[in-house]
Amino acid sequence: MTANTKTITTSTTSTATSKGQAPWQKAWKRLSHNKAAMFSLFLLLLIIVICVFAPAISPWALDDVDWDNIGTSPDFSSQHYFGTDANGRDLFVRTLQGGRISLMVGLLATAVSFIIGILYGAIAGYTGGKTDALMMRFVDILYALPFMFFVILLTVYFGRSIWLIFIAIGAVEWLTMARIVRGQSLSLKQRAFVEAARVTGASHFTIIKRHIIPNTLGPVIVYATLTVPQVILFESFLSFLGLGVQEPMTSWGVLIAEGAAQMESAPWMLLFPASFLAVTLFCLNFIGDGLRDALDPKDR
Amino acid sequence: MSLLSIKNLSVTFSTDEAQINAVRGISLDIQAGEILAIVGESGAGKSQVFHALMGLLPANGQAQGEIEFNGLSILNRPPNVLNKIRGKDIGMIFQDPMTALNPYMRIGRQLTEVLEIHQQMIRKVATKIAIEILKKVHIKQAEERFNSYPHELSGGMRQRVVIAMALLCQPQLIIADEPTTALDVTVQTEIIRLLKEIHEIQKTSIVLITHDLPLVAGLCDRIVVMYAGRIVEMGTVDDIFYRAKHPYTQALLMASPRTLKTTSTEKNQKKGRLSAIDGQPPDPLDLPKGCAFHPRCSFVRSGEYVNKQCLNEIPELKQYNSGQQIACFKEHKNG
Repeated sequence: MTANTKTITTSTTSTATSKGQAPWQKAWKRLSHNKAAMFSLFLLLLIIVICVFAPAISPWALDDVDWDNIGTSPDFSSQHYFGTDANGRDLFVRTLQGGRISLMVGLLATAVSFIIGILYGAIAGYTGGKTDALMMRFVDILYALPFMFFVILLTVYFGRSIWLIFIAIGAVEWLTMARIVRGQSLSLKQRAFVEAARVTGASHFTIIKRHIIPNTLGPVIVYATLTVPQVILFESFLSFLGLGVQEPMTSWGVLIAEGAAQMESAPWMLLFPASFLAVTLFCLNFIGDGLRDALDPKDR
Repeated sequence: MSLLSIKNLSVTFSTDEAQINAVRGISLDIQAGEILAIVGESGAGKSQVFHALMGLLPANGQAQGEIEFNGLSILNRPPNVLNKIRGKDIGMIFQDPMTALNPYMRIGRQLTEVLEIHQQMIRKVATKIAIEILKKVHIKQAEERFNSYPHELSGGMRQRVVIAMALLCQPQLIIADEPTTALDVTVQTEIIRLLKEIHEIQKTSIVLITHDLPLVAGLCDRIVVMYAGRIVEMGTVDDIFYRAKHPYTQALLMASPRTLKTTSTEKNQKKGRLSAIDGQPPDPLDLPKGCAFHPRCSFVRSGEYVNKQCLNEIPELKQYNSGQQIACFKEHKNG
């Protein structure tokens, strides 16, 4: 019988017979067959690498003003690859710098909401009863607060800063995450392996850590990849309204807002940051989509 | 002193509509080194007895009565008290090995976790012991399987892992809640044989909850038959198989394929048919008055034995000379 199982495993996977194949590895295998998702992943990594390293190859800095080229279109001889804005600042550097901010906000705020949401949801769902009801009503109340009002309030009190954006976005995004995780853990705690863990004498903390959270990660990761573009859009939206990052720092949202104002006279000011944002969002959505298929338990 | 003694245990579930009495006052003693089978239909309350014991009842479930393990009262105790016993002195084997293992953890880690909790072992020692236990439950290439994920094992192998998990701390009592129900017939016998082997080597007491009478015949010492939350008959394997007195036990035996020759009526034997038990299992929300089995009892239905007591009073479990215990008015009268 063992010989039999072994031949089956070797026929499907040639590598992982002795070490065992984690559900994650299986999902990764399936994801790697998804061309759209893999291409998106490649493109996204490329954008991140460009945003992080490419500003160094340009002679211009973020806030350098080139008095000779104010509001000029893309021009390689003066090394303004994406042109300059109305103040004569290099758009290539500004777009990529803005990308750093946008991506950082997207990833960090998602990570923050991810951690808070998972912990909160897992505890609420696993504990159940009155604690759960109380915790989820608190989430409902936060949900009911108008987001813009909340952000404006924060800016008024603390002034504009990039950290405020993290807090504001994180504070809103973890709510949905908590709800998803709570729903998952409600059904997970009925499963036999959680009962088995209880009868082997595992503490509640151990059960949440080892059995509940790892099993909720599938849908949560999918949701997280779809949250990143949402957060980037949020940040762009806030910056567009003037509540986001401060000059001379910039972000894709800020650049798009500036570009939109000059759309007729200098279309490149809108075109470059907008296409970077659009491509990034597309990639993240495709990756999320691919992950959802790869992690779908029905395909296991 | 018996290892586990259950006194007058009842389990009720309160739902929005009504109270469901899943277990209605049962008393039971389990001796050290004994294998006891608990048999009954779905909904007879057999699992609930041991869920109450392990503190696994859902929030709307309530247990009353007394359960003593080694003289220590363990019913309705807080988790931190129970955690010292669960997994260490009492192991539990679950029905469905497909869901009893965490799909995201290597089976080795799930085993060592138990040892780390109860015996504060370091990982290395725990690993060694876990592999030994895997060998003991006859898992081939135990070192390799130790690093496998549950989905890479077959159902029978998974059930062996679940059994290994229950065995880790060398418990005095193992509760096996329908350990073979989710497996196919050939694997069932293997698992039963494994349980027997474990019993012989470690002298562990085993409680086997099942609805498959013939399967456990060769394994256990005593059989308890439950119906609608009460014990209707209790005795040695021979008592139950050859001298079953309660009409429910008799009907149950007749409904099992392997006992056709010994207990089936002649008419059915000729046709080679199994006789099903007439009627439906009772609705726990609306239990029949009197003996819960009377609407399905062949004696009552055929008019062969009619006693007002059957319809109005609940029969007590009475002990007879041989040690066999029966809860039936017909038997009490013949006595």
